[in-house]
Amino acid sequence: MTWHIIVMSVLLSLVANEFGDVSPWLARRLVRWSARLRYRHDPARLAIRVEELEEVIQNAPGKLLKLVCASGFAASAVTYRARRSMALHLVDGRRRLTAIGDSIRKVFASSATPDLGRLTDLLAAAMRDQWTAAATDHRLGLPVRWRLSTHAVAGTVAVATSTWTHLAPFEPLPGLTRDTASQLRRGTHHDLHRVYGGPGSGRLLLIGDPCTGKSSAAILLLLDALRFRDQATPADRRCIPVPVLFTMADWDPATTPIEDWLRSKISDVPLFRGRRGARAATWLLHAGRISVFLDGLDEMPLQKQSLALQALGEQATFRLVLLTRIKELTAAAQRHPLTGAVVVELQPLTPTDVADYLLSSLPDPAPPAWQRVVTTLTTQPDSPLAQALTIRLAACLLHHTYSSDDPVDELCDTNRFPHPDAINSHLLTQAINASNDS
Amino acid sequence: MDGALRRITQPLLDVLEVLVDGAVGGEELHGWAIMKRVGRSGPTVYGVIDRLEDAGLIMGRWEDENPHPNKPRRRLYQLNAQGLAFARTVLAKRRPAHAQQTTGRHAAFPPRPRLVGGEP
Repeated sequence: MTWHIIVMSVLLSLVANEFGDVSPWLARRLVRWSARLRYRHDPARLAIRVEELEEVIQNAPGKLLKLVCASGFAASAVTYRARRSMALHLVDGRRRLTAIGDSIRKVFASSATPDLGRLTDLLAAAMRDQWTAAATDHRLGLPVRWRLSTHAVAGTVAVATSTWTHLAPFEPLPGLTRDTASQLRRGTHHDLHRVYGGPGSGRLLLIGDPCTGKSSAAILLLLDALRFRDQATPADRRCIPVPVLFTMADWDPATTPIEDWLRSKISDVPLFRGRRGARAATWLLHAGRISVFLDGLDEMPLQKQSLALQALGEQATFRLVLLTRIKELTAAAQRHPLTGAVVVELQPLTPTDVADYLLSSLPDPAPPAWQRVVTTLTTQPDSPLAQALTIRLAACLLHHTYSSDDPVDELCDTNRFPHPDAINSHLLTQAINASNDS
Repeated sequence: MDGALRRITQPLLDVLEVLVDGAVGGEELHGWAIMKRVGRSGPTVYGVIDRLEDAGLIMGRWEDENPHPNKPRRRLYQLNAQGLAFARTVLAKRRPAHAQQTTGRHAAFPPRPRLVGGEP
């Protein structure tokens, strides 16, 4: 959820620049908004905190510090709310999965040796349920574009796509081929599964700058991988692992082997709780039935990052997809590149992508004001509007700010909005106002 | 205490230290003062205050009026008896150095006025 914090700090600093004199006012509104968001479920405390926090930030010396303090509360409230909504999804998922849970118990009870195929199917069902639900929260309508990276974090593509000799090599998933470097230069999320399923190293690094859609890409890939498995023949299905996605912020590579940590994460999944779950996780891991997606390398303490890469390089015997920001990875990989991984770098959106995304959620034909925005995006890719909206979050904010009847084409006015920052500031203040009014 | 304080985190220990010092000095503490003494961000400190309130260990009250004219009233916090006992137990185990300092008088901070709030 780090994108909330990034957007808040970046956009707020822009706003602070632009509106130096109104920043105390903005800080008060922002902190009230944060309190409403954070304590929405607790009306008694909400009433207290709205008044209390507004007073508290007044103690910060200087206009800018008041705003920084308020934006801290805002970022934290947004993160809290997002985590809570994710947790609700899980609770919801848990309820729906009770039936599957009963099946798992039957599988365990029916024989001393586990029916791995059945267990894998059940894990797949659990993951599909969890991530399909979570996916509704993500802005998955925006496409994901990638190209092979030139960053030196994992050795060469030739190594990645050749058969490995010093670690157990991975055969391509059934129906896929071992892609050659020339075939996998660039693509969208539709092609990502081919890159994931082909390489002999079984390792894929998804890297990108903040807000380039790494989490979206991972969730789409995970759902694709599940779909691919569903559609395979029963015989092939045995060779297709079930993807699981965890954030590795709480893994300590200095004290805990990756397999132990994974076992504990899998036994946190509602259906795999307890000793039975841990035992099942071990079976599935050892049988190569699980493919591991890891997020959050950049959230680990700095000194742990390269240790984590080293540990993954040495210990990961499963298919691995690692998501991380470029900057952190480059630093950590200097000592321990993740040998053999195919490195895919996520690309910024194009104005046409954004135009398609906007049109897809509007009535057909789109209202004239929106049509003007779409035309500006497609015909003037260098305009301030096009430049502003190719940042994923700005594209999302636009949807929050303007309904289909609103005069969204005011953003095309280059006198009012001469540069992209002016549009970002405007979108943010509008979003805050809208939340305060609601 | 139930689930609210199942995890004893470093920020929780920091805030408990400051609140124990406050209780020893008979002070009620303002949110901003806690933030400054703990040296942690507002959301972190208020996250801890929320948890302590949920566990029923801390009392908050609005002051009648801000001693600085034309300033809004402030909310002040103090550990209750149960809270003080909890804090002492946890700190003795996890921060023995602090526990020793405060068994006599609060040596961790210089003397300060009875009511601590923001600067005028």
